[in-house]
Amino acid sequence: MIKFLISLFVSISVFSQSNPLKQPQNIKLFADYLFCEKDYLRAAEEYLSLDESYLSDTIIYKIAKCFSVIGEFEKSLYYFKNIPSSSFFFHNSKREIGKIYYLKEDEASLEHIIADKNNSINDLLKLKFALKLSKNQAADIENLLSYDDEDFTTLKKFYYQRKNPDYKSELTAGILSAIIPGSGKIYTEEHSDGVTAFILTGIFSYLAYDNLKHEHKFRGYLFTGIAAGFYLGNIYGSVASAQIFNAKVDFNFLESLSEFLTNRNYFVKEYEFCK
Amino acid sequence: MFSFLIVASSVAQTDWQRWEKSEPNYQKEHSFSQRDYSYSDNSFSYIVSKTLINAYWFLISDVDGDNCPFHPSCSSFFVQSVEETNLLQGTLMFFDRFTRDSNPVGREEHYPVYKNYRFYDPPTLYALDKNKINFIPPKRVIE
Repeated sequence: MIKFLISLFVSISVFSQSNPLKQPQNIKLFADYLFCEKDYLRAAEEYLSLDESYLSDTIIYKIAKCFSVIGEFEKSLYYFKNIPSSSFFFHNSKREIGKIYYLKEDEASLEHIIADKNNSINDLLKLKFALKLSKNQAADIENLLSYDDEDFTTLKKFYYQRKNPDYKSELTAGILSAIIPGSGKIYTEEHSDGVTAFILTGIFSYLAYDNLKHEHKFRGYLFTGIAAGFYLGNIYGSVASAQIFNAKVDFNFLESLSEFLTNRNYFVKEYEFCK
Repeated sequence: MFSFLIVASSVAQTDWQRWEKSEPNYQKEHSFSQRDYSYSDNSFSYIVSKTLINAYWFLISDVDGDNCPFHPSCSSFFVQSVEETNLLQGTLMFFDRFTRDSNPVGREEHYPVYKNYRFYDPPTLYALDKNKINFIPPKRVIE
């Protein structure tokens, strides 16, 4: 019995040592599979379980990419920074780092990698351009307007949009509503609110006038107060409406900028690892 | 082994309640506007406006029903506006809100939606403080 148990124990331990699933090449194959299935967290874990001697540039790049996709930016930065300058992935890793700094809105670090002459400066400059635009600091990037390629042309359009936004003047909206109730709201493109304000102010003003004319003093003063409330409230609301309109312009600008950057993948090249 | 199986199967059988016919509720969940009658500020303008609105809630709104299409409701908007600004500005904000409330056209295309299926229109948007304006696009659901 003891012999049987010993032999069983030995055979199990030998088998477990030679488990093919735990062999490095199979771990790598499994991690590659997970990577291609976009199961990035588990793919990174599998790659990291490999011995250090198996961590080629490609694998380090893939680990960094996995962490970048799932939003683990600090870990991602660590691995992207570990890619040597001799590597095929070096320049793209810098773009990936730039993308992370853009998403973290870390302007100083972005400037720092731009200052490094080894990096592919143009794509990083585009990110800096976009970051300044998103922070509404268009004046700081006038020196970048001389660059010329397809992306810069689009970014310049964003620049001019930022510099001359289609804002509505709060003062104009207020004055218009003071002259004709509701016209300030129409100016800020709140057409139906403008018409409603005009009707409400008109009705209550007429009621006030009619009641005062017929010596119904209480009702006359009551409707006068309500009409004045709607009149003044509309002037106030038109100013507020212009502010909200301008906030909407900024919001739409940032949405379009973000859409452009997403479509251009933040100027990062994607490799076809899963062909 | 036999006794082990008996014990294991008796422990595993934890659902002793009989299965019965259930009465599912197919009504859509509806959360009514919260009525908070308490006073949270000592300022004169707040006390005046809150007293007015408490009286309106108690005597009219609770009897009439929860009908305002906006969140916060117009009455709550008034109180919050006065709390946010002052009595005069809050009153102007309320008249402006009442104008928007009287306009039935294109609300769906204009306002985000609060979780209680009302149009979300908070007083912070109208306090004339640009830093407080948080633009939310129409139709987005606010949790």
